[in-house]
Amino acid sequence: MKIIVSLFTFLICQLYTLAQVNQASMYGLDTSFLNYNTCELGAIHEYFSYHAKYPESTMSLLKRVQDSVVSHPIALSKNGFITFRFTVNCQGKASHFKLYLLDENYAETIFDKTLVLFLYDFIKGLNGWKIIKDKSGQHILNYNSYFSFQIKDGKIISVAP
Amino acid sequence: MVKLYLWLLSLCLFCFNNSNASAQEVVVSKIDCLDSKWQESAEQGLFHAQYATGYMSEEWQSHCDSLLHICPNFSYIWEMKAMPHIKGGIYDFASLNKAVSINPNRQLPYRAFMKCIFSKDYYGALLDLDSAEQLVHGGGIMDHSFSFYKGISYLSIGKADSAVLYLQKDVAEQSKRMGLGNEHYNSLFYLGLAHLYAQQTKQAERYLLASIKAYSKFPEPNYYLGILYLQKNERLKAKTYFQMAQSALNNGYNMNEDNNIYVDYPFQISAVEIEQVLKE
Repeated sequence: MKIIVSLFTFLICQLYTLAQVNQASMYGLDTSFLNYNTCELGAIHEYFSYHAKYPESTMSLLKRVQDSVVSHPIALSKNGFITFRFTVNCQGKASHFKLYLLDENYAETIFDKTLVLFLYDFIKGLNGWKIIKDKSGQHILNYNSYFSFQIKDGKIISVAP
Repeated sequence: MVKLYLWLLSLCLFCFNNSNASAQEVVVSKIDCLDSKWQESAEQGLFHAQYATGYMSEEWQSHCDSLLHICPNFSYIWEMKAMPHIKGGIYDFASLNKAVSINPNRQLPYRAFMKCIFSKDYYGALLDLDSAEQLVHGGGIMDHSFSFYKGISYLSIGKADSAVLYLQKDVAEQSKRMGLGNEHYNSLFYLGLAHLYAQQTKQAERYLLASIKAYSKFPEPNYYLGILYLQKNERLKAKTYFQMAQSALNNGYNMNEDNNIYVDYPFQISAVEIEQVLKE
């Protein structure tokens, strides 16, 4: 029994010391990358290396998500950050999702599943992603990007990046 | 001497990455973590690692971990461990908190900046900026004063009057230091915007125009000046400024802030906003 308790404590400590835990699977997000597309395999780049930030301002996205949340029965009772990291594939679609949930003090937490899935659907509905190519112009590159939503006092108050 | 430090650093990284504990112990015992030359070498080592592996890589994190294993109180390395994560949306403020606890004078302003610009945690940024001001009176970070970041944080949480006070202070400090007419166009823009939100149209117009005078292709002051004229029902004038903002955006002009490639600055616009107002 002591061994089990020690092992459990050790595992919890290890989790705590990791930067953050990806909770995508726990919330049923699509974590696949190649299952539903014909993209070439290869290095995955970062959006900022190719000036591939989403072409709509975060101010505009915030307004859209705030307007949208009004018509949905979603509880925004908890403060914190809901962050989705994902790969924009060669078809310009967000895939391979990772999910990081933090409270307002940047400590690991959980959020209501309905809220997480609402924001997930919001991101999946964005179809203006830039298609970026390598220097030869022959190959479309896959790249990582993210959206982070901050919830405070019952409102979504910011969207990053 | 520097070469020797670089060699020692390379050896440490090699030893750590190969999990050779005994070799590592021998080298670690020879390092004085407080020695500025050693710290300089470590920073240089990271600089080279950035080109070798990129700072978004797992290898980068390993480099940082190795250095922190050797010198756990080296605040800059904690900062470097946190920075790529935060830029990528993984808000590793735990590492940054560690950096702040070791060297608050250097790291607290940086944490405030990361909260204000990257995680858009304006309430958290304001707390940090207050503390930073106590430690480094009249200081700044990333080319702007603490007052600038306080101003844009207040503006972002809807406290336009407070924003005006801090942004005025920011602009006044620059006028005093560099002479009238040499203030940063982003300072002038945000001061104009704060006046606009505080419904002080005359001052808003003055500072937005001053920002455009300093940087004529700056999309944001052109757009918000259009909004101001729209509020005054001067539709033709408004349209002219919206079109100037649109043209500037289409030609790739932006805020000219280094971190703009990663993240939007507060109240930054895109083509969507302009298309919307021009349609109306």
